[in-house]
Amino acid sequence: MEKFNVNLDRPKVSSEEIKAKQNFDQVLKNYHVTPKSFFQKGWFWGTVGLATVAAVTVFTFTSINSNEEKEAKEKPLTANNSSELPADTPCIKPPKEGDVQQYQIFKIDPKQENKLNTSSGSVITIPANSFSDENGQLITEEIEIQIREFYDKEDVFLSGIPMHYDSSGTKYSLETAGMIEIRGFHQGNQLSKSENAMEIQLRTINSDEDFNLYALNENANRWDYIQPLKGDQINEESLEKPEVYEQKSKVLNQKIQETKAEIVTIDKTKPLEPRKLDESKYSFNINANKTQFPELAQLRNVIFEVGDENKGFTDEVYNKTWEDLKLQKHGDKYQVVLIKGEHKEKYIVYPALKGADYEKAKSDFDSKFSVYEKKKSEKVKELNDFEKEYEINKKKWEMAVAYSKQMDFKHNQNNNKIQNTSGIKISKTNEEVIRVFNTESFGVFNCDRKVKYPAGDKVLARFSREDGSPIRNLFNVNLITDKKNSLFAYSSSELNEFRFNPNHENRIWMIDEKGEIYACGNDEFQKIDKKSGEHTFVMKKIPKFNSVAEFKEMTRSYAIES
Amino acid sequence: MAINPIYHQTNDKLQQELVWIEETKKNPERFEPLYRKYHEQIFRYIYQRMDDKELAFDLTSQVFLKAIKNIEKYEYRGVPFASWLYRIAKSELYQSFRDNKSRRTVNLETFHLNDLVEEFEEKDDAEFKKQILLDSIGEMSEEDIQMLEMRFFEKRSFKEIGEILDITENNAKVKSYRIVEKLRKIYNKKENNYIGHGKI
Repeated sequence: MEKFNVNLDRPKVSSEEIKAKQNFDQVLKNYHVTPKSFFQKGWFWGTVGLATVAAVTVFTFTSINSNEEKEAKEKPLTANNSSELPADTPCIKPPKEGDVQQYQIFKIDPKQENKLNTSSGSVITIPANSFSDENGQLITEEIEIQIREFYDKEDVFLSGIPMHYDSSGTKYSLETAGMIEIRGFHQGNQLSKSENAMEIQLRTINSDEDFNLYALNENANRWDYIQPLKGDQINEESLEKPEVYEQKSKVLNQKIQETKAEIVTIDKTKPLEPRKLDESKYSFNINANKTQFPELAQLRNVIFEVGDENKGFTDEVYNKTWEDLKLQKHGDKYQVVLIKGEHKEKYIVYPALKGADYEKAKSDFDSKFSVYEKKKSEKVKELNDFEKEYEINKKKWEMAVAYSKQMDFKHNQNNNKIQNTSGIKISKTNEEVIRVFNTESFGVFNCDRKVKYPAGDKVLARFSREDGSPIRNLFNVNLITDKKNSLFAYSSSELNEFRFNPNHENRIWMIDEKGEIYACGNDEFQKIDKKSGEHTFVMKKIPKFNSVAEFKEMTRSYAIES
Repeated sequence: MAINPIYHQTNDKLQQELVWIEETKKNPERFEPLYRKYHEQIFRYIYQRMDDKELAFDLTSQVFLKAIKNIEKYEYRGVPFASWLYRIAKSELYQSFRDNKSRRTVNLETFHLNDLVEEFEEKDDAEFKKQILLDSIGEMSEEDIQMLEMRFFEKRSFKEIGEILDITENNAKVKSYRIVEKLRKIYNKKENNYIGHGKI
């Protein structure tokens, strides 16, 4: 199916027309009317000094001492908004203990195709001979592929991967259905690309159809939209054992071969379109053998017209006495062979009709051709359907193999989703779908949809530790709600517009400049002073943990306790 | 291969651009020379990839607006300011496709097709083959179509393509050679299908 509208020779726009449309004043006007955050505006630092003091003060805890206050005025809080970070800040900045998210390591021989089955059920196919060095030389030595996958808020938070997405000036967060990070290394050097597209069959956990593929642009610190990402609807049925698909594959392959043979047979019944005799041309009257040429059997009074390709044909041919004449067929063309002793002359001829014979034959042809065409198109459609089914079956087989290999992992991680080990049952309520895309780049790919930031109650947020000391120099503040699989990141300049939906269960996870993690639960949101809209969130420091599972347990218990 | 004169600039011109950029950081009105210099180039880049001319003009304005707003983030890397503008244009373009739920367009001229046919070393330039080629172009991936457009239709240098797509010059070179091979594969498959299904 075509992905683009392709236009040929569209009229060009003249330089004059383009020049006439230049309007720098309007661009400038738009620039001046586009609101900048107060943090960026000149007046913020200049003319309204007192306002600056007040604004900065709201980010600091009220009990800070005078030295801290002075420092706060001079150096506002920093947070994770990309535009406010120093230029050398890495795009992906995990908390101190983010390294608990281990990479799965695959050592591959790049000379052959490699299928990598990840622990969570995704499959990455890397074609043979896909990697070149800086000089364009094919790499034949071992390549190391490192993969991590992220499925829920905790995974995403610990990864340090930003989830904000700006679209036409509006800030969104990305809600993930599954995110994968793929890196390639050759002799310790990171590879940026694969020369041939890698196929990623990404296991995702939400079957909604509005998810798209985004790639993290780590240089620009933003997500780039790539394409819509529809899922294979494996959630509508049980995924069988691989052997089932292998068997089905054999059956389908046989059907494909049989259908192809049937198409060849149908092609043999293609009726011959009658040719109207051009009486100005040479011709032969030959009584063709109806058994040898069944396609001519229905035609009455066939005359064989000499084709234009017989450049040397003259009426001398008729003046000679020939001992024998043979009619042969080569492909769609007929050939007359005139024989006298050892001498043979060959001429291309076309069966033709004239007058009423032609009219009748044409009418017969029209009705027969439509029957033939219908038969053939039905068979071709049947063939396409079989081929499509074969491809789907092949993908399911790959998934089944991947799922089979990872049963233990899935039992540990999602034991409520696996019914038994005799087959791989995915219940109808399970939202898992496999989404497939191709990429030549290594990096981070996310199956997401844009979600708007909460637009409910507003709170003027400040943060303190349990001992009352203010948490300052925040690197990352995230609002978490129970309704979305997403993190809503706020920068320091946005904390005076910090909004949340009071009807949701809300939590906050944040990272300070040292990489320490702090969290609070919904009860902190209940304590917000509705009149002033101000609140100092008391944040609990998350103690050291050794696995993502431990972190999940801690944050979930904090959500209830705090 | 045609040379893009805007891209291949003298050092003096690049330095002049830097002066305008630095001045713009203090006063957005100083952006005007850069706007005049690159307006047509950016419009053509955008309109080449879409059908709606008026929208293309609007998007062009939006590109320059974004450029002024983000001029502080611009880093000089020894290449013309245009590369940065192209990246903004690309981003705006795709945002527009998403917002308007419209399909990306590929515009090409007959001589582009002839060039490709030559790359294929096809002697037979029958019309139906050109149609197969057009259909094949329509089926390429977004990444490949970008390369095809920039190298074969817009005749950009590998260096410039590398700057716009944020890849090395050598990588741009390798990719562009492979594009022809990829296109040939799609083309051959399509041609076989056409023949197999009795379309010719």
